[in-house]
Amino acid sequence: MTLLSVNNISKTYRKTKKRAVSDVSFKVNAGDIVAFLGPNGAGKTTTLKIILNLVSPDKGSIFFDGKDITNNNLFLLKNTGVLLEGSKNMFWALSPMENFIYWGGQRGLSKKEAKKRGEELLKTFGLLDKKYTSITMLSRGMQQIIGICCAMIAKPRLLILDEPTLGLDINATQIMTNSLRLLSKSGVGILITTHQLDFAQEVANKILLINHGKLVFSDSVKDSLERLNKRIIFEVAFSRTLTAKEVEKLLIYCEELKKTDKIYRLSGREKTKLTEILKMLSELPVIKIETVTRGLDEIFKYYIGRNNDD
Amino acid sequence: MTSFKAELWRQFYLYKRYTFNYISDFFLLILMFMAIFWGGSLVGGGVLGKSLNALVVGYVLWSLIQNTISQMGTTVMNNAKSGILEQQYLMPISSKRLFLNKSIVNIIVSLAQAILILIVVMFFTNHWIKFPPVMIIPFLLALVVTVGLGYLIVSLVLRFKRIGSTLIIFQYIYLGVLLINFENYNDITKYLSCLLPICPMVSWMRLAINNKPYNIAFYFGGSLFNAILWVLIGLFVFRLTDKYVKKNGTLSLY
Repeated sequence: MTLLSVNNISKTYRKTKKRAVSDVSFKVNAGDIVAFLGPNGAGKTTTLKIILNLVSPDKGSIFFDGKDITNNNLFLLKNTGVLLEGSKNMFWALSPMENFIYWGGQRGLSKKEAKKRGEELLKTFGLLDKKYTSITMLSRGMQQIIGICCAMIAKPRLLILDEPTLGLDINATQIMTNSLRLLSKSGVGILITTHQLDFAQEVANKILLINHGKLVFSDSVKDSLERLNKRIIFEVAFSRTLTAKEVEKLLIYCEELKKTDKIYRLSGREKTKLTEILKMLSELPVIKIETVTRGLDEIFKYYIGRNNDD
Repeated sequence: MTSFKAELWRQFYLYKRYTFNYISDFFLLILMFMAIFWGGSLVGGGVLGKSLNALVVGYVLWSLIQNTISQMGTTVMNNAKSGILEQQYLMPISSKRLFLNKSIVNIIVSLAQAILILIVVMFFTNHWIKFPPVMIIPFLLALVVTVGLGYLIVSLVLRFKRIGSTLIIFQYIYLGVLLINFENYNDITKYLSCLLPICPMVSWMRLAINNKPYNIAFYFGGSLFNAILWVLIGLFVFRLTDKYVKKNGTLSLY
């Protein structure tokens, strides 16, 4: 079921004449975790702000659960939890519980309901003992988690998180990853912007890549990684510099990318069998061989590099 | 209603966390009121006379309005700076409602503070002011104007971001305007004064507290017109500003 549908939205800022977003379209289904990636200034935050009606689009439309919310997004906001730019969604002088009561109240929860939900969230993230500590006294990572808890306080159907892993250590990031997966399993649609490609690859099932305001890539993470890793790639270290004849022999079976005189990145040519490559390599002075799995960073480099060169 | 209650709780938690600071503020205000009261009594031998009560009430009203409006401006400025304002715009209530909640909470807090101060001052000076019951009408209408002015101040913050100095200038200009006894001027001036925020209400309260004869229909009509006018102006300007910041994406820029 499609939760959020963004159709051909564009925005040019009048003062700077900068086209921040150009004809961007995508969908977030219930249970999806969509990673929205792109370099700084690519248009990610503007797109999110247009969805949230903090910025009006010049053209395009946005639908939530089948309803047009382009000009009146109260329906979207009722069902959406948002964390914009780190942990700025909190009153720093108040404690996590006091923040939950405030933000829960703004979303229609009574004080009792907000406290109960807040305790559940703090328990999930292992921060129950910090419920009455002022936000300013918490570490950067804890503040970020509390910010996310505030966004999740009213059990939203859609969660929009701008850089949710900013300042989180490995443990907290893992807890976050697990929590997002749990939420996604329960049918919550999640849209995340992040610069951490490994986190995006681990948690998301779809990726959107934006550059210079245009959506340059959109696919499921599984499919794109499968396509990317269709051919076997090896990184091979040799004990000496290869002769011209040896390189020639190598190129019969492999396409090569020479990294240094002694290290080569090889990818098998189409229809070449793995056994043939291994047999050929056994005749060369190999000291180390590793298979290389390509990740989202390769897609990112390919599309962002190409577009930035244009 | 939960959003209003949440705003009230937030204010309460802040008072609880910074109790010492708020108590200090409270004593400072009491000292200021005492100074005004005794200063007024000294001068009042011939000049102020019976209008001493009016002076105290006028000052209470001014400080109430001033606290409410400047608190609103400062809070919204700080919230814009920290990013909270943007987050508040993402709540499922309209921005109009959001700032109405804030205004009402500010009014409640400032009103409680002003009443408490007045009681303390009257107790220490043993000068008990008798308030004619009719005063409640201009007083409530003045609070309605405060809501309209609150929207204007928020609009200024959203449009120009830093308006700290403007708030101070506004405070003194307004004190000057409130001290003018428009009720003693000719009819044209009296009518024109109905256009200035809260002026007809203050004139009405001054006349009532000094037991002077006055045209109740004129002051009621003028005050009602004034309240409606300033709420409409506030809402209209706020609506334009809200559109402007969304069109230009400047809500979070500080």
